[in-house]
Amino acid sequence: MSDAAKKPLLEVRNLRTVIDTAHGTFPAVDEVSFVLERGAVLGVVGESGSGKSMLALSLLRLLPGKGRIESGEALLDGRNLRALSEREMRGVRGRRIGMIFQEPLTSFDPLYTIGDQIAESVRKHLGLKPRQAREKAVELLSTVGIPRPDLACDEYPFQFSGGMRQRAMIAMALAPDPELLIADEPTTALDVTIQAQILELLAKLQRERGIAVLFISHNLGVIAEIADEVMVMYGGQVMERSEVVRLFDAPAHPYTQSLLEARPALDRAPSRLRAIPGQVPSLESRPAGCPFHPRCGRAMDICSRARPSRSFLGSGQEVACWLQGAGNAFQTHARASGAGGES
Amino acid sequence: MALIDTKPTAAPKRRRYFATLLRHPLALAAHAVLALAVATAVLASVYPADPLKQNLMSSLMPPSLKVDSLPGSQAALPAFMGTDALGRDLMARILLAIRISLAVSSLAVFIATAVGVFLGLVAGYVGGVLDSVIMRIVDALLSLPFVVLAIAVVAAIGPGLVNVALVLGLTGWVTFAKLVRGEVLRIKQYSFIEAAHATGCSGKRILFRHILPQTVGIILVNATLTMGQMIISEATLSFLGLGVPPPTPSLGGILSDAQQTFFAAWWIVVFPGLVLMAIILAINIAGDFLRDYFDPAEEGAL
Amino acid sequence: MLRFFLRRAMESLITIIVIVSVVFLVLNLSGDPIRMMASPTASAEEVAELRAAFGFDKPLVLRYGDFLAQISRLRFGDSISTRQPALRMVLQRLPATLLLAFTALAIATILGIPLGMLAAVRRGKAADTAAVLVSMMGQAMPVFWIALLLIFVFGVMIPILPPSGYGTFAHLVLPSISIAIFLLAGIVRVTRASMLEVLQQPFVTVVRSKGLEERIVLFKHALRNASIPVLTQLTLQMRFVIGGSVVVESVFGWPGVGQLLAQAAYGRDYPVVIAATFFIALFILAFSMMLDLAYGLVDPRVRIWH
Repeated sequence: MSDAAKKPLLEVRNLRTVIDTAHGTFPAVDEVSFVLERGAVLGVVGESGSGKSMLALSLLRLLPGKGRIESGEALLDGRNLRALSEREMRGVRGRRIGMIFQEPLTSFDPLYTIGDQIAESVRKHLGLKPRQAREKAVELLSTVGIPRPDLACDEYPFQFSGGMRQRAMIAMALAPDPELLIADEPTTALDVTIQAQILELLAKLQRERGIAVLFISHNLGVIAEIADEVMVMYGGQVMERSEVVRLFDAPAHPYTQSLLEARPALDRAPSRLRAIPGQVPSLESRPAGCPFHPRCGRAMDICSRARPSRSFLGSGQEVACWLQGAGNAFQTHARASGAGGES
Repeated sequence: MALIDTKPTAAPKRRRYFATLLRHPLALAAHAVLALAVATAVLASVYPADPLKQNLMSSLMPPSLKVDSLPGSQAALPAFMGTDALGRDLMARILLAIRISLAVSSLAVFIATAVGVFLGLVAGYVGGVLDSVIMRIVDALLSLPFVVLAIAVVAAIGPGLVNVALVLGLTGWVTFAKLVRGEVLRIKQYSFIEAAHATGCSGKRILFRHILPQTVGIILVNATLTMGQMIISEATLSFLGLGVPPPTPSLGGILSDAQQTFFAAWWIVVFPGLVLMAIILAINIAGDFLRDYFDPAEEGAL
Repeated sequence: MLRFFLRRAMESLITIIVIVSVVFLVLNLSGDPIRMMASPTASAEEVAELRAAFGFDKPLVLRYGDFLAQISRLRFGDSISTRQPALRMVLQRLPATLLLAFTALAIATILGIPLGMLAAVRRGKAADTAAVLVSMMGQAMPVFWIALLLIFVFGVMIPILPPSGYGTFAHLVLPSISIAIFLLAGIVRVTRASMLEVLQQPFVTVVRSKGLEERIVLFKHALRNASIPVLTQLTLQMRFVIGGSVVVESVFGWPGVGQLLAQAAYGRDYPVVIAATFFIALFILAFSMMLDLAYGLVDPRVRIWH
């Protein structure tokens, strides 16, 4: 893919984000690499603590106090976001990369109207006058399906229902016409029926506007609805990446397989619904080697000692697991170093 | 939560307190200052110079380390902090004033705690009209500045050593009542209180044997912070001539006298104030530490 | 909003009644005020005359009824020392106290909020540590000591400001700073804590994710949210302002209600004590009602729900 003449919209290479705690420095995002093409939807799935939100915040360089990007790069249109000044970065946030957050209630400033909060970003990035910005906000609210948008524009977040707030949030993120939208668990805090509506809205806007989306969720079912490709994360690392259909049909990583088995489905007897034994290790207690090995039913000796490298299984599927054999691993190294050398 | 089962014996609890204290250097320093203040208060009269003896020959002597700087003193001792307008040794006066200040404030805190805890327990436990009346009074008194209230009461019963303690105690109980009532209302919901009711415990027994012990932590914290307020208030009243009557030295009184002479004698202004500030600072820090220690939500480590 | 306001006014009224009742009770239960009021050489007749003049010959309950009836018509009686109406004495001195209180409050707020913000934004850095230490010290220094030190430095050592008196702007400087230092400590502390809490909230990250300048993040969004606890603090602080002004007015010879109250207490001038206490309570309650209105301006949730 990286051989194509045109640069991908977003290319992340060996990104490593660490958090400094009282007990040392720990990686929250560990050597993550992926490519997101224009107009494509990449789903990121993982349990809480898998580093997916930290990945999103790393891309915007909005890590909370103790977090910092240690190495690797994130190229937006070939420009390394890490190399930008804070001022240039502000031109990227909102304008080129929009973000939707999980909690629609706490994501709005309670003291300003919805319209004002949409307009402030339009005014900054598109240089609109207050009146034009307001018109734009009304238009956007109507686009995301908020009834009587001209009135809603002057209402406060607490006067909106959860679903309405998330619609407004989408309007706010789309306001300056970004090319990339990061959606961090956008439906998790909502009722199931509302979830479906919001998901549908996102999918529709994505198609109409041809916007690329990095869709983060712990819910594989939600990812399956919207994403073209899926990246499975665990312990800050990418376990597996493939097209959605392929991931469901032929999961290659034991973790992906357990995730699929742990998912309730109508076509399976409830007795086969299994939880993954053990729990997600905390940031400070990540095991050496493959982070999943303590919970993996097929762990081998080597899994606790060394970290598996990426193997490519064809059709764009890649997996980081020792079960894929040494030959594949060797091939991966060759490919990876080749890709690194050309930039 | 560990509400019923844990009644840890005093010894490990105390050891844990000191262990926690050792990890907080600022709080440790505050405890040291307070220990020093208490020791000073106890031993004040051991200091050889006489805090009351006037000697106009040695009026307004600056601080000195020379042994003969305090003429007329029975002990050959330098006037470390100088002398006041009446030639009295400032060091001796301040040492005695610390004793007076701590004694008056302790008595005031004791009265405030006793009255406040009792009324708070009753208001919270009995509820109803009694509760409303007590809490109305509490809220009303809380809306007035403490000093104004104290001054109004001094106007009624007059200044004096014991009166000051009474005044401060009788105006300082309100925060205790408010806090304890809140705690009682909270604790009343727990099942072990219902269990005590069910097993036929009398109301009085439940109140004093089961509820009161649960509130010791916040009472202690509030008593500590109130102590600081009492020391300031005693000094303020004495400064205004409404507190400890002369010639008995008090930190506020010494500062009040200093107003007459301080264009010539900075030491009379500086030393008593520094002592006051050190003690109050130490009490505030120790109080914050105690609050963190008793409130698991604050530190999360208990 | 109107109903909310009426309810607050009702509560304030009850509070004032409770306060004057408590003061009345304390004054009347603590022995015979007339005996202390009258000069030691007064004859029995003179004492009886005084007693009748102040109504102390009636039973307590009746006197309490009379007292409330008089107070409700703002009749506080005449001062024992000056024989002037206590009400007039207090009202004459009220403007001076208000001037002092609001100047101190303004200084403390204007300096305290930016300092608290600075400390929060630089959390853990030198500026923060300095702000925390200074505010701890400020809260541990008795107001009258601050006043004495200021007089010593700016009135005696470098005599650029009048050490006492009333009338010009220069006279206002030292008294108001004395009170402001203590206030400042509290405001810095609360602003810092509340700012730290607001900066942790998700919406701050959202504002940043929109690419807005840190200036907008801090001043438009974080500060306005952080100011809500600061307003609450100001209500509490007004008590300290008035408490401090009693002392500061006495130190600087500032002709306000506080100085009057201290003098009246010293001279056991009950009518003046009661009148002064009444107006101090009235002022503090009015101030806190004003702040309730300010809440509505800052927070739409208050405005729309009430």
